Amino acid sequence: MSMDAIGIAGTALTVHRKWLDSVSDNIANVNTVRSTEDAAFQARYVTAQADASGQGVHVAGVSFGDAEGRLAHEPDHPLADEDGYVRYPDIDMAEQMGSLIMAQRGYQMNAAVVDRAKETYQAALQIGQNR
Amino acid sequence: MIEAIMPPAGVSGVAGAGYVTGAQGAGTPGLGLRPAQAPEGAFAATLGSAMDEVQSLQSTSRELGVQALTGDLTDMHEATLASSRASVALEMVSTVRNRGVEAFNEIMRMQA
Repeated sequence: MSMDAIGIAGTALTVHRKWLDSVSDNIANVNTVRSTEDAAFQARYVTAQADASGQGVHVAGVSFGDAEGRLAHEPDHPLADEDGYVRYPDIDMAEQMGSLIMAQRGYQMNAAVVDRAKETYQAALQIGQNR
Repeated sequence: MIEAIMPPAGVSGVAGAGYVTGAQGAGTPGLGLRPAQAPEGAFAATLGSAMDEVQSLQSTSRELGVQALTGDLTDMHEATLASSRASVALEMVSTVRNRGVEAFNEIMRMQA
């Protein structure tokens, strides 16, 4: 039995779910401060890749943002070094919000594909039924 | 009393159309119909294997449903996807079965 559309849309749902997870993690850590000795929090970016089987998509891997971050002068911060600097992650909030919307819409789109595919299969079963 | 079904006087030499094997010409006395040689239980076997597939889809769906309730599920959509799959598959098998029974009943009604 082939129900490919549902399976293909399912792989895309998984990819978008992972994308949503990474964006939520990035946004959650936008104010994560580290001392200048440590690396800054690195934003996560998922990389989508078409399946080798030609049916669907999967997450090929995750790339990380800049470990350098940006230095901020906050002498009162408990993690500040002797010069009064702390390290903030280099995350662009506008970019993250854009990704969030794209991930959400992509997920919704693929959920709609599943619904339509199911409706289509059910229509196929109604062929020839004169009721 | 009618002892044998005799062919009508004006009809003779009508041969079987070839669709039904074993049909005799109208000239021979008696009914010469024998059932066509169909593979034994082919429909039943096909329906049975389809039923097995539906069974496995439903057990997957049930498993994922339990995982969703216990919080062991990583992907929420997997459970709903499996349940859609199982329901469409069941609908298909039941449609095939209904059409088969319909065809059988139609044949059973074929009597003058």
